Amino acid sequence: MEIVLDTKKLEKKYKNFKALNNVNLHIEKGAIYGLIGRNGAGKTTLIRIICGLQEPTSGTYTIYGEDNSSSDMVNARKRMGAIIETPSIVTEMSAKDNLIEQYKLVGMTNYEEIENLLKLVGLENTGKKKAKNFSLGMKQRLGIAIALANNPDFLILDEPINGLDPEGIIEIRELILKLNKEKRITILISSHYLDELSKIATHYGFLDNGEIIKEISSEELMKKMEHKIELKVDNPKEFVKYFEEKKISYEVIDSKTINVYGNLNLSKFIADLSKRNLIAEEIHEQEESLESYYMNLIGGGKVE
Amino acid sequence: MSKLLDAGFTRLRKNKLFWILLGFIILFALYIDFINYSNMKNYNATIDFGNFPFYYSTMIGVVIAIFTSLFLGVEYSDGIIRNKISIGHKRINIYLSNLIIIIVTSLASYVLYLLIVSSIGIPLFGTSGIIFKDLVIRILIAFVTIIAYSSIFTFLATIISNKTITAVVSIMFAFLLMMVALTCFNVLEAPRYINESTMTNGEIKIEQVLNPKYPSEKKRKIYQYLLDINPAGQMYQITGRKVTDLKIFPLYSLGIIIVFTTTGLVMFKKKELK
Repeated sequence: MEIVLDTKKLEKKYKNFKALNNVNLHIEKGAIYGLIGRNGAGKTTLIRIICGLQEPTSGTYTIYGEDNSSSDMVNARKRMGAIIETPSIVTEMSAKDNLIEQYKLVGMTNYEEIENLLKLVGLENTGKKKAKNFSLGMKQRLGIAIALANNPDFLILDEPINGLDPEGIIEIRELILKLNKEKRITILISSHYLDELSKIATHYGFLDNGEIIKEISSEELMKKMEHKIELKVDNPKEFVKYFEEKKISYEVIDSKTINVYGNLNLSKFIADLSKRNLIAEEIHEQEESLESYYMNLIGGGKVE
Repeated sequence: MSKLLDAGFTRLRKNKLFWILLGFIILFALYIDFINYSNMKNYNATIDFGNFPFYYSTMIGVVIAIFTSLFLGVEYSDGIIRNKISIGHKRINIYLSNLIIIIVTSLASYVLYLLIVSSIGIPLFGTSGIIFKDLVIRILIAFVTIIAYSSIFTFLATIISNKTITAVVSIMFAFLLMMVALTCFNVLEAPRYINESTMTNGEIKIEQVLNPKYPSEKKRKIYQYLLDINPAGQMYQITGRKVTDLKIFPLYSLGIIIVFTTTGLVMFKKKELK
């Protein structure tokens, strides 16, 4: 699988404050990578560095295989589109004029696609209305259209749904999914709206205090978020044998802990175990959401 | 670079401030012609058209400061610089393209003023007494000074990330240059001798004495240097035709352009953008 963005031991210091510390992050082609972290976790700093607005204090990153110290990095950036914090739009100009401006910046001389781009983001009927009179959602969508002007393979969206109303959030979500599915654009999206991210992301990176504390695919995460029964046992091998036989989904966490997944009836499950003389010392039933998973991660410090 | 210039000039054409600037220059040129014509008619004043091209140049520093800080300030406030960098434009090209746009706009505004003030002024006042070679040289030197002004205010608008602060600092700096130039002028214009009146036995006696405020030769050189190196000082001297050495002005302007642009490029390359 082609890696679009790869960071190695990335660090950013502001005097005595470490905004990023040893950040190792990997984004595969075609992914929607949700970068999760509370305010001040370092999401925007990381994005600013990737976009070339700031230099890392130490560490490296590659975009499409080009190293950040290489002079060819500017060419890799030509394959990127980005919205960093707020969309880069000239508020005194209309949506169409903003796109013409962006087309000129990226060196595109044929403006026929502009109408399609405006349709794609639902701004085809804005006419000569200046961007300063747009709603927040419209500005955000125009920002995305601008970021798409150079037909990027990699799109970076920093907090794209901040301040949007529910309708605006749905519009942006659908647009992101459309871009990923139809145009095969790899997307890095940072947010602290976990529910929203869980609806679109294929991969997650959890950032806390400037460190990536966990990278996980949505499949793995879904598995972890399933209904879960945690067993504390003395003889895990016997339990594993039983789960294999009964085709029960499980995961051995350590020498004494096994997690069992699926919609099992707890009392029937315990009864079945007793019939096989499998006695657990402790049994905990857990239902996990992305939110509780994230809170556990942060509360539990480093994972794996 | 050509893409940046193309996009920059497109933004300029769509910019309200640019059209306000042009409108202001047209009105100012018309006002200069009108006020002089009025003086000629009402007071039989002798009007020397040779001064007309330079009325605007004395205040052009403030005009460039206002325009540059607001036009380039938007690059930060609207995130335009962020966008340019993230899509792969080099910082050096971003800086130089902005500088070129400001230079072209500033020169164009001066040319527009010259065209309007001349197209009406020459038929009204004639060109008698004008040495054209001298006039053209002074205009060309004013062009170089305008480029120096543009480099100063592009520098300020690029290293300061806040549009309002850029505007305040730029305008204050433009006025500071004018004040420093006027101060130098006043010192240099001080007469060597002044009249001193004394009364002896009820008789008033007036005699010429050495002016204590008359600067020494060393001080005169320093003040003259400060006046010559200052774009506002250059403009005052060109306008007042009290130029000691015209040829030195473009050299000083070139120095300003090189110092401010090189420093600006180095600082902008290292600048952490937010």
